[in-house]
Amino acid sequence: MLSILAVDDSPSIRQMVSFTLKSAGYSVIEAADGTEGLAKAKEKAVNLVLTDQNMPLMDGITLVKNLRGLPMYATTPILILTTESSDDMKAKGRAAGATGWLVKPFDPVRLVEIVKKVIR
Amino acid sequence: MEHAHSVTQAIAVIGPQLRIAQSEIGRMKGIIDTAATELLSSFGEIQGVFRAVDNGQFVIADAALSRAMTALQFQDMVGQLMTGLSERIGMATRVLDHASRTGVASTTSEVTEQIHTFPRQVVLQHDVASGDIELF
Repeated sequence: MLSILAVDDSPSIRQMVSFTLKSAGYSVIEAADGTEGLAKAKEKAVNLVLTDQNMPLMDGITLVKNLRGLPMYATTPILILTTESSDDMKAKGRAAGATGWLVKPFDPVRLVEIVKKVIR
Repeated sequence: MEHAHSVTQAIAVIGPQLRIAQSEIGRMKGIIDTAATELLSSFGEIQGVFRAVDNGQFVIADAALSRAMTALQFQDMVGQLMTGLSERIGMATRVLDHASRTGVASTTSEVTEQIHTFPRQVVLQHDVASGDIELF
């Protein structure tokens, strides 16, 4: 089963993402911030990372940079799911190595479509 | 002196009101968070029931559930806006406290510095329509 790491400091968003992706047949690991996300990503390689941007301790773009520094995550798809919609922030995400930028709120059907499209 | 006295009095009235407003924002956020968690839990149970009905009805029900889950994310956006609002009120309160103690609203105080460096708004959405998707 393909696994996805969902990182978000909002428990309800984590729950919604997890619910949506599990319903689509994926295994989901949850983390509440970038630091916890990085630790869980190191523990077990996942097939895709879906992360929020604005979080305590470590934000999403810093998480992306850290993951891209690990050989095991050099090509893993990393999507940023955030309320941030500015072009400046998107450019920073892209420069950090993110695969895509999704602005909240997400449509569960569209989220699954995008995940299916990029997951390896 | 009479003018300075009236400003101090105004600060004495406004300061506690701002603290109450900040506390109420915290309570509102807590209520919304709890309600959203309850709704989400109910959605999970409802989806389980939907899967047991025939396929045509399931497609309709599943689409309705997707729209509801998109809309439910208002809680996350409103929560972030409330947190930002609460922090801004907190900073304004500290400026007033400083002014009431010293008699001046110093432009070099630590709090004024915080206000100038406070993050810009991160939630710009005006509704709960699903957001843009961009693959790089």
